[in-house]
Amino acid sequence: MTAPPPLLPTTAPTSRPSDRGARYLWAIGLLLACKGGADTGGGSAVGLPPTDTAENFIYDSANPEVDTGFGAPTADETPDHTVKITQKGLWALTPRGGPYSTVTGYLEITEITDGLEDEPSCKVTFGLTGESIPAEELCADCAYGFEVLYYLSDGELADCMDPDKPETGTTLRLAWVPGANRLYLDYLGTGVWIPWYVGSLDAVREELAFTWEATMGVRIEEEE
Amino acid sequence: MTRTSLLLLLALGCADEGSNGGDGGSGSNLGGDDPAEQLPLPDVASLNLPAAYNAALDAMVGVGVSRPWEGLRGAVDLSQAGCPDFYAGPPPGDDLEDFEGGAAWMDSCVTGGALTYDGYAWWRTDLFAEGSTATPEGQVVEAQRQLIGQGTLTSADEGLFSWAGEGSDALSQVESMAPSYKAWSYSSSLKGSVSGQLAFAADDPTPSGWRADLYVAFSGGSTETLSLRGDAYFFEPVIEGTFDSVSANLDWTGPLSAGPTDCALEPIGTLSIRDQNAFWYDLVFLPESSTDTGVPAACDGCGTLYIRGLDQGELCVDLTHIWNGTLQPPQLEDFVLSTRDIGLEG
Repeated sequence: MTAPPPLLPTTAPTSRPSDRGARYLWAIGLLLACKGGADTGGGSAVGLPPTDTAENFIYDSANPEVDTGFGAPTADETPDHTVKITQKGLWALTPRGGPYSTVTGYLEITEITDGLEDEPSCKVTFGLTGESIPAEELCADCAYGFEVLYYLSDGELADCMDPDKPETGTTLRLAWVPGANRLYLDYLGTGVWIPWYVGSLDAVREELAFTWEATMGVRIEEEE
Repeated sequence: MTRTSLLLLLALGCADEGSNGGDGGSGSNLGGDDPAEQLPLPDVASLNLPAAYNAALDAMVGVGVSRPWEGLRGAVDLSQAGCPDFYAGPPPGDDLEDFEGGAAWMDSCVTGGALTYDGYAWWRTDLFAEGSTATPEGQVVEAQRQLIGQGTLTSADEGLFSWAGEGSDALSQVESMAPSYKAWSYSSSLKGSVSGQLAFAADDPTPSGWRADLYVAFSGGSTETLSLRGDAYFFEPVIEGTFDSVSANLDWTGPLSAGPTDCALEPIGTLSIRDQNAFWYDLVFLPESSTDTGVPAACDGCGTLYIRGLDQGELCVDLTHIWNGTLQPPQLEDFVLSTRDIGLEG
């Protein structure tokens, strides 16, 4: 991949910084010389400052003014607005009796903003289908796992604020860790398995229910 | 107006004054007393400049998004329910109105463990991975991080993490295990300051942190390249106990990638270090840029040393250790910072 351009234009000098400093010192010296010719330099014939301190540079490349464009942080001990995010789903494991090679199911994401339970700000449903992951690619304590295709079957995904919501058409690798009652996610296929859902296996029905819930602050543009 | 024309005008201005009563003899004569020749120069006899430039290069390639990201992850790990408050997407306020997605913390609060969070940090990770390292085709990964913030985390007696600025980085990697193959390119662009033990281990070459405006890019595996553009101030003279700042504007093609016209023994460009008196020591490897059409310098690891802009002759520095595994991109797991890491469940 070609390295992307820098996010910000760098202020790196394209000429030797000390050269530049020397030129400015020349300029300062000439200016001082122009002011009536008094030698105030204490031995410096052209009025040069005695030391090469940063103040004497027009641009001090080692002390860039770090102006990020941001003001001081605003203390906000409780968010003005919150969103309660719930992800809840179910896997039906087949063939019955195992070893399981496929899975079907669903995932619902519901988001309640500012406690308005009757008016979810987001409610979507994904249909899930998956095929088993080879054992050698599973996480250490995982019993079985699937490459699961997410297909949005209902709702407007754009309404959802969950930073980790799946996109329609996404394939995610999830695996069951019975000892922890957790479904682990191979985070976007990187091979990094992290606990993703709290799960509950119904051994009789051979179904695995899973859920995750969190409340976060959220920025909402106020109506004028 | 160029600097040259500015100087010319200044010189002419002096000439005018001179004609009105000055000495009139040297007003426009820039070739007379050269003030540059009267610049006091530091005593370099006790300095190990080759070691200093090596340390400077090492320090610069360590300046990037990974450090504030580590601090952010540490701050997230130490959070408690409600302190700080986490946000889905950017936090309120005008600062980040043009951004979307990701997650953030923003608060001014104290945890039960007497940790104080003050400020905000917003981050976003985009990861794409396809394939498996176990296959001959291998795994292709594209990963990006973005981090913007202005905040601190402090304990009762020390600062744990401080970050103000913005940065982003990107990793592109192809890896397979059979046959064994790995190629990657990485770049980081950052403008800001970072400090604190959550971001810097005690044995870090720059343990006190830094303030930087730097673009760094390098590649490895099938290619070896390095580019540095910008400056960094390390708060302390961490380079040979004398130099606290580095400025770089260089490109370098390593031995693995060097073609007939490349020089793997030295970069193209300038590597500058600044001592605590604010004296700059510039090491210039010609040609000064990849577009310079001037006479190419010898490929010998030697450049011209300028101190305070004055030519001090040739200085030979073996910087090639940089190609011996020093340049390493972040691990893929370093890009993972999800809502699950925040510990919001319940």
